[in-house]
Amino acid sequence: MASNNKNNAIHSVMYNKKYEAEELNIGFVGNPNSGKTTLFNAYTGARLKVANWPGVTVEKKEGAFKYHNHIYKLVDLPGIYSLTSYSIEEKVSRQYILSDDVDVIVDVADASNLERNLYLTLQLIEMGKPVVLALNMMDIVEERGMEIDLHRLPEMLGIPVIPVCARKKTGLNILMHAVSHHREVEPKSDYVVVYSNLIEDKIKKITARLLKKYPNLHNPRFYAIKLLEKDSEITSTCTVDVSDIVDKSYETEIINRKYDFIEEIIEEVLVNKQEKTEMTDRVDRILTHKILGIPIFLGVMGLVFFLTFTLGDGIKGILEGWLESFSAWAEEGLVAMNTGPIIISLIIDGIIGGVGTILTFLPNIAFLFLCLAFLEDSGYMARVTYVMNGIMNKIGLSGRAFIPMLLGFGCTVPAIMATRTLENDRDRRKVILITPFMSCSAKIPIYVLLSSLFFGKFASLAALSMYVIGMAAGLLTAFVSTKIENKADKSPAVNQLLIELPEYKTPNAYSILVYVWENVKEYLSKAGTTIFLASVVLWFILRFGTIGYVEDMSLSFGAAIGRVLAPVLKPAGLGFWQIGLSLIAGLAAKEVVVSSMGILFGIVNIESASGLGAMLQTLGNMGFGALNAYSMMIFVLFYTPCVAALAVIAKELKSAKWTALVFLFQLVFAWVASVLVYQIGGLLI
Amino acid sequence: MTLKDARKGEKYIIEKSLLKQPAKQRLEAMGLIEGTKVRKINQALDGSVIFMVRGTRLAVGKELAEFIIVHEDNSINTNHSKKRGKEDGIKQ
Repeated sequence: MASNNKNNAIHSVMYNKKYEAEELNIGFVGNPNSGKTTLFNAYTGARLKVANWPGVTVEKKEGAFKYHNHIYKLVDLPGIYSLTSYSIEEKVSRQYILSDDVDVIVDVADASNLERNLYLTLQLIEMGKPVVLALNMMDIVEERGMEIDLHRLPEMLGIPVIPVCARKKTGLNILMHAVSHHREVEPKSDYVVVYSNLIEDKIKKITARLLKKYPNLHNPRFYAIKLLEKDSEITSTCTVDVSDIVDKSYETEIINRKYDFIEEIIEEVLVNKQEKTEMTDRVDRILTHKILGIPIFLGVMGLVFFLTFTLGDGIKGILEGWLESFSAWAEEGLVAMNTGPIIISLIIDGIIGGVGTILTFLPNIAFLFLCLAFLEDSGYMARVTYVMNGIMNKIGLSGRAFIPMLLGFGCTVPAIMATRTLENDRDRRKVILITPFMSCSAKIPIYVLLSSLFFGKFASLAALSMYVIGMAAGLLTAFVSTKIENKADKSPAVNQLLIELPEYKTPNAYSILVYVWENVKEYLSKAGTTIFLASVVLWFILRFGTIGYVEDMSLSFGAAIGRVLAPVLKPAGLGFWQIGLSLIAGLAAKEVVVSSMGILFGIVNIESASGLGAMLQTLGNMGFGALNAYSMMIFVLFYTPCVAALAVIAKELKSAKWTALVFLFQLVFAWVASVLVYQIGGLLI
Repeated sequence: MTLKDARKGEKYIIEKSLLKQPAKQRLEAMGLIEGTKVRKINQALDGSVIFMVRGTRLAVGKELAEFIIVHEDNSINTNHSKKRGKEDGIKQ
């Protein structure tokens, strides 16, 4: 029957089909903050990001491993609290669980917070698939002197319960053992949660009607309950008329009954229950203080960026030394091999100059991600949504929208994807529009280069100002667009904050290292691919012109391209073909702006003392001074993000019109802002 | 009184929610139902509230806190062995 009703949400779950090649598909489901991703990583070694706020796993992540003679295919589902159809994550998870693609569900629960986690467990059991409960964070349970009756819990739930500790990698084999055995277990005839007589009677009637239409339906009880809850998705796709039985929504009664049962379970299985939260409460008294909260947050972010620029610079000096010796060594070697001057120029100026320069910024980038990981893993980031909620409400957004914005300081791509946790499309569009204004890590090289060239001891301050200006412009943009929306729509949507604040914990060194390494790897691979390619292309168009190979770059194709743009950028003080060309190149990746300047000014290592001096002189001769530099920083801050970010924006907005609008808006905004800076600055100086 | 007007650091029992859908359902799914015990932890200037419910700290905006009606929890026994509010004769 399933094949006859392919488009129907109601399809049978035939999990007891024959298995070939001992392949098992396992879905990992669990609440946010339950350590689900850590457990998933412990198995697959796929070093996924481990975050600390709800809803970070916005993508379907897969991994596989072999154990005994089984191939285990794991899918990491988004962190969710329930299986209704309110959010994208819940819908995705529910559809996946109901599909034939999954054999066994591993429900990952935070054992130290069992009461919250069991609600999802009960819903999963009701769906009729084999479920194994993985009780994670058992170490914390012990630490707090709590005990869980591991005999009574599986009895009451009717499913296997396996204690594990993802962080210490204990209980992993036993869990998979239970998974491989439990998939063959037939569902029991009695139900875990029994509702009131009235509801049970209705379930029985609906079930009979469903079975008449779909005789092979594996889990009619689940559909009957969903129909009684008036679940929008199931109700709209159900072809069986049950309107005479479902006279109203019984959702509240059904939820109440589940929580009653959870309380019964907690009472029976949890010994020494206590709210060991004094530490978190004490810290929160300061960090979420109604007056101090915002200054503390601004202070924290200020410190993060200040350290990124100052501390990172120290280590960068060492890398620069290495790069210089490497470049000299390479040039010597190439000359000794009788390599032609054009090839030497390509390798030394183009590749080493373009890619090498970018690599020296690695310490700054690594340090920034280290800080972001620390804020996430400690539990502070979720608090920021609460602290900033008041301000965010004034501009028409919920405090929750602040998380994508914060992530945007790292990289725009995951930040845009994180907007999926926002509930309505209007908010998402707004956040997608302003997130690129939060300076991503790829812009750091540009700020560091320009400000150390022109602002001397105020270099850090000049770079830091980009973050403040970007954030202010983002908030202002959201505010204005809300005003425009409200004029068009008399009933503006209310943005309600609702978020779980996890308990503070000492950040896990392993999780942080994994997160930093992931991002450093990303940066390195970008240097090896996009930036490498862009550097080679740039070298080529700067060394060749209509007359062939040119010594003077102003005769090159690149110069011709840059000259087209120069007049447009003139009011912003950026009317130089070199600048125009590097800004275009920056669309490939923002770091390319810097590597292109390296090639343009023929300096292998523009960050070295001699390189800086040479570049400063060349720029000075062009008439490019401090004000031009600041205007350029402003332009880079606001203008259209890199192609990778644009692709994600297009994917998330699902509209060519909106994407084009975002693209144009950012370009125009950058132009206007930098023109204002240059013109007003010119009057003041 | 509403959760917004409740005092910091005190324990309360949820009487009812005056919220509209889908916010109502969302909170119910998080276990905020009639008779649930909560402890208010903090309040921001804009009216957002942090409170403890079923072992979880939740932060909610003013628009939600204003529509959750609570009354004081007078029970001395703070553990969960105490049955939900219905037995105390509290009905809407």
